[in-house]
Amino acid sequence: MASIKFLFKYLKRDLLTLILCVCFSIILVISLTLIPYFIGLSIDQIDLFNSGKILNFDDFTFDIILISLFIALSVIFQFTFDFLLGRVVERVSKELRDDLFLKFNEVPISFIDNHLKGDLISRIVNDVDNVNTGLTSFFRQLIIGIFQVIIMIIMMFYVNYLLAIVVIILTPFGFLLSYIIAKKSSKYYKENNRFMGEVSSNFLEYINNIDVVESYNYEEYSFEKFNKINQDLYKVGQKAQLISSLINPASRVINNSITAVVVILGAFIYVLAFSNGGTFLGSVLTTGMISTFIQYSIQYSKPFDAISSCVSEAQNAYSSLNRILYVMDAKNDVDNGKEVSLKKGEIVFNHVDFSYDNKRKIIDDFSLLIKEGHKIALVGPTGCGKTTIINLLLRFYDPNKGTIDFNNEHSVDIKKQNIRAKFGMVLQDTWIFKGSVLENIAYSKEDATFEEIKEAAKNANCLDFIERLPQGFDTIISDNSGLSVGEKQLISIARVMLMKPEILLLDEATSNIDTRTELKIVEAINRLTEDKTSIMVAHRLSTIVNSDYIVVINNGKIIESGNHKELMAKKGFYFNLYNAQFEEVGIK
Amino acid sequence: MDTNTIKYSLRKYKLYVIFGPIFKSIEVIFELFTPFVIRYIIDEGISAGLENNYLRIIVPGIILVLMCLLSFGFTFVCQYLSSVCSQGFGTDLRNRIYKKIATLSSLDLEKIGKGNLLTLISNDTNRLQLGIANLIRLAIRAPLLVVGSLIMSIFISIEAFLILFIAVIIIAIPIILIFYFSSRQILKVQESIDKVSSLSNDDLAGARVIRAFNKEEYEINKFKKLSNQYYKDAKVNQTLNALVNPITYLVLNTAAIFVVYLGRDNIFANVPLSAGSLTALIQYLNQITTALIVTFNVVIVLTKAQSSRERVNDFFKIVPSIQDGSITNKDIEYDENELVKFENVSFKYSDSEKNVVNNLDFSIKKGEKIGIIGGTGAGKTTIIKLLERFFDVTSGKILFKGHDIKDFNIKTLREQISLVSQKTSIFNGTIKENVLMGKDDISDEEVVEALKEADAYSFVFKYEDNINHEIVESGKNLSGGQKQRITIARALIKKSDLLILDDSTSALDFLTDKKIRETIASKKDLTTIIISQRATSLKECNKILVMDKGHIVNIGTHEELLKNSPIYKEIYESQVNTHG
Repeated sequence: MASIKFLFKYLKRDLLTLILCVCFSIILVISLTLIPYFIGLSIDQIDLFNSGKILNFDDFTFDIILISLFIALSVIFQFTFDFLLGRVVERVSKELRDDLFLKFNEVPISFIDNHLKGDLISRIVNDVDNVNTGLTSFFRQLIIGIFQVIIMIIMMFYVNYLLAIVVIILTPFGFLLSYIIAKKSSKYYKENNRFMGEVSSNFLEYINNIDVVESYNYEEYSFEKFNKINQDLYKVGQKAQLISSLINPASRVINNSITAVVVILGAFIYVLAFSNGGTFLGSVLTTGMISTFIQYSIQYSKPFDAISSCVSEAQNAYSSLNRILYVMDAKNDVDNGKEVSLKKGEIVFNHVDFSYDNKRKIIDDFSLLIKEGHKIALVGPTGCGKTTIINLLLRFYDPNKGTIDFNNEHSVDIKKQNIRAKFGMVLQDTWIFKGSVLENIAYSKEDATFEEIKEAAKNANCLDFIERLPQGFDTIISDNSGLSVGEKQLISIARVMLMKPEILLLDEATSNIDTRTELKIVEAINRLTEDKTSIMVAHRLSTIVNSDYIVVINNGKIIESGNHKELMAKKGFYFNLYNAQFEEVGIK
Repeated sequence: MDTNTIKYSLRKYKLYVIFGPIFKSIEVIFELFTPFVIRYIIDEGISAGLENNYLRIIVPGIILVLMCLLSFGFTFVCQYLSSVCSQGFGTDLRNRIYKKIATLSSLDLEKIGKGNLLTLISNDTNRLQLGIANLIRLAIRAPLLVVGSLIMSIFISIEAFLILFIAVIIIAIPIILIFYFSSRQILKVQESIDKVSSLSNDDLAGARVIRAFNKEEYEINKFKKLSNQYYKDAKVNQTLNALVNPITYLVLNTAAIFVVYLGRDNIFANVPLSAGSLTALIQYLNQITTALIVTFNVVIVLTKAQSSRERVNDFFKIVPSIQDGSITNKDIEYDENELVKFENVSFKYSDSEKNVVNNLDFSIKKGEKIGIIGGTGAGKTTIIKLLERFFDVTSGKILFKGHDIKDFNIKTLREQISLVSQKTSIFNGTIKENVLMGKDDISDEEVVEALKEADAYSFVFKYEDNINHEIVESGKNLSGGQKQRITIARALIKKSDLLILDDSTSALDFLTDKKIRETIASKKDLTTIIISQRATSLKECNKILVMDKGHIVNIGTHEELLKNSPIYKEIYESQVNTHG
C-alpha cells in the first residue's frame, strides 16, 4: 500500500488530467458500442422499406447522423485519451528516474557498496519502465476494459436477452482455453530462455578463448559440446513456438463458433418470434440486430484478453514500484559538518574504532599523526584495513569511536565537501566514464586549458598512448572500451595530476602497471607530492621505501611504524614482509 | 546452393516453407467463406424458416461450426510445420556460425567484435528464426485475408468492392507512415534509454570519485539532460502511437456507413443489397482492418530480420585472414640448429601505420630455453602470435623446422607447439577435460603425471572426485595460480616440440614458479620460450631477448645483458634494487 501512496504522490499533479481521461474513456466506450447498434438499426430501416412496411428514410437518415456523431466522438476521445495518458505516464517516469538518480547521489556510500550495481541500474531503467507499462495498461486496458464489458452486457441484454445469455456463458470457455495454453507456453519459454542463456555462455567461453581453442585444435570437440546444448534448445524452443502460436487460433476457433451459434440461434429466434406473432419467450429480433449481435459477440471477448494481460503487467509494476520505493526510502547521507575553510596542517587519528557491520572491528584503536608535507605509506596484508583508512579520511564512513582531526577540528564537524576538496585520489578500481579522454582528465578541473591537460597527461606518462589513440584526446572511451587496466590507471592519475590537490591519496594505484612504467609513475608522483602530504597504500614495497613514515597495519591496528631503515632494523613484521617480497622477485 | 548465406540453413526445410503457407491459406479460405454462409442464413435461411423449412438454417449452421473446427486443424498443421522449420533453421544457423568462427583467427574476431559475435548467434539468429516463423504463419495469412475479403466483396456487389478497396487504401497510407516514423522514433528512444543506463552505471561505479571531487551536482545535471531527452523522444513516440486507433476507427466506421447506403440505393444496378449482404460486408470490413494491422506488424518483424540477415550473410562471407598450407607431416627432417627462425620479421595491423614489431631476426635451436623480456607493449606476445599463425607477418619470414610456417597445414603446425598464454583459459567441464582438450588417447595416469609436473596435483588431489572435479563458470572456484597450473599441465600433456610460456607464472609464488621452471629445464629435448616481466624467472635461459617498442634491442645471457643492456639492467634493478 505504501508503494501505491508513493506513486500517488507523482500522479497527484495530473490528477485532473487522469479524471478527465476516465471520463473520456466512458464516452469513447459508449460511442464505440453504439455504432454497431445504429448500423443494425439502419439495416432494419432498409429492410422495412424494401418490404414496403415504411415509405420514407427519415429514421434512416437520423440513424446515419447519429452514427457519424459517434464516429467523431470515438475518434476525438480515443486520441485525446491516449495522448493525455501518454503525457502523464511519461512525465511520471521521467520524474521517477530523476529522483532515483538524485537519490543515488544522496545515499551514503555504504548503500552503494552493499548493493549490486546492475541491480540498482535495473531499478532506474527496467523498473521505471515496468511502472510506465503498468500505469498505461491500468488505464488503457483495465479501466476501458471494464467499461467495455459493462456497457456491452447492458447493450446485449437491451437488444436480445436470450442471445446475451448465450454469449456471456460461452465466452469464458475461449478465455479459459487461451489461458491454459498461455500458461503452458510460458513454462516452455522459461526453459527456452534458460537454454538460450547456456548457448550464449558456451559461445562466449568459446570466443573468449578462441586462441587456446585453435592452438590446441579443440574446435571439433568444443563444437560437439555446443551442439548438444543447441539441440536441447531446439527441442524446447520448437515446443514453445508451437504452443504459443496456438493461442490465437484457439481463441479464434472459440470466438468463431460463438458467432456461428449467435447466427443460428438468432435466425431461429427471428423465425419463432415471427410465427409466434411478434415475440419468442419475450424477445424480439430483427435482421439488423442479428448483424449488431455478430459484432458484439466478436468484440465481447477482447476486453477480457486485455484485462488478463493487464493483471500480469500490474503485478510486475507493483513489484517494480516496491523496488523503486526501497531505494527512495533509503536514508540519506547525513552531514552535520559545518562549512570550514580548511588550512594546511596536520591530520590526527585519535583512538579510532571502526566496523562495517558492527560485528568485526576493521579498525581498532587506531592513532596516527600525519604531519604536513609528510609522505605516509600504509602497508599490511590484504584485509588489514588499509583501504578503510582512506574511507574514513574522506568521510565515506565515519568512525564508530574516536576522532579524526584536521587542524584540531573533528572530521565529523567539517562538511564533507570541505574535506574532500583537499584530497586527490587514485583508487584501486579505476573509474573511467563514457566521454572523451579530455573530459575524463578534465573531470577534476572543468576550466582547465588544453595545455594544462596535456601537461598532466605527460606527467602521468600517458601522453604517448593517448596520442596513439585514433582521435587522440577526443577519442571516446568508457570503462569497457578496450583500454588496458594500466592505461585506465594512467588516465585517473592524470586526472589527479591536473587537480594539484593538497593531499594525495593513492590506493594501490600502480598495481596493474608493469614495473618499468610504475617506476616512472612513482617518479612523477614524487614530483607531484613534493612539499605535499601524501598517503599511499601499497602492496609492492619497492614503491614506498622513500616514504617519510611507514605504518604497518595488521588486523586494524598499527603494529609497527617508522621509516624504511628503522623498520628494517627492527627485524619485525615489516622486515619479514619485505623479505617475502624479495623472494617473490627471486633474490634470496 | 550457396553455402555462404543464411538460406543454406533452410536446405532441410524446403517442403515446410511451401506446405506451411498452403495449409494456412486453406484456413483463410474457410474464414473468407464464413460471412457468405452467414449471409445465406440471414437472407435465405430465415425466409425458408418462416415457411417451416428449418434445414436452410441448420445445414449452413453446421457448416459454419465445421469450418471453424477444420480451419483450426489446418492452422495446427501450419503452426507445427512453422515451429519445426524455424527452430530447426535457427539451430542450424547457430551451428554454422560456431563452425565458421573456428576458421577465423582472434584478430579476425576482434575486428568483428566479441559483442557483435554474441549478437549474431543470439539476437540476430532469434530474429531470423522469428522472421521465418512469421513468414510461414502470417506473411501469407494476413495479406490473403485482405485480398480475399476484397475479392469476396466483388461477388456481393462491385460498389461494395470499391468502398472496401478505398477504405483499405485510406487506412493503409497513414498507418504505413505512422509505422515508419514510429519505428525510427523507437530507435531514438532506445538510444536515449541506453544513455540513461550507461550514465547510471558510470555514476554508481564512480560514486567514490564523484563524491571525492564534489561533483554530485554536475552528475545530476548531466543525468537530467539525458532523462529530459528521453522524455521528449518518448512523448513523440506516444503521440504517433495515439494516432493509430483513431484513424482506424474513423475509416472503418465511415466505410460502414457507405456500405449501409448500398442497401438503400444501388447506383449502378439499382438493386439494393439485402440485410445478409450488408452483415457480410461489415464483417469483411472488420477482417480487413485487423489483417492490415497484422500485415504491418509482420512487415516490421521482417524488416528487422532483414538487417539481421545482412549481418549474418556478411559474417559468412568473411574470408579468413589466415590461409592454410599443405604440409601435414610432423616428422619432417630439419637442421636441429634451427627449430624456429625469424628472418627480418615485421608486423603491423592492417588498420594502423606503426609496426608492432620491427625486423625481428633470431633463431632457436632444438632444446634451447629462450627468454623474452620487455615492458607492456614491447611486442613480446606478438612474436608468439606470429609463430602460432594467429596472424601473419607483414614482411619477412618465419621458418619452423626449416619450412615457412605458411606452408604448414595450420592444425599440423599448432600440434607441434604448446602455448600457455598470459590469459588463463579454463573451460566449463572437469579438470581432466581441461587438461586433455579433447584428446582421447591419454590415460588418467598420464593426466595425473602432467598435473604433478605443473605442481597442480597438490590441490587437485584434495578434491574427492580428483581429476574429475567439475570446474564451473570458467574457473570461478579456482584461484589465478591454480588456473595457471592447470593450463601448464595442459601444455605439457600435449607433447609437442616447442613449449611457450607467455607470462604464465605471474600468479604463482616464487617457489612454485621455480619448481615448474626446474621441471621444464629437466626436459632436455623440449625447446621452450619463456616470456616474463620478471628478470629473475629468465636468469637460467640459454638466451634472453630484450624487447623495447617492437625491436629486439639485445640478445644474450643474463650476465651478458647486465653488462651491456641498459634496459635489461633497468628492469632487473626495478625489481630487485629497492633503492632504485
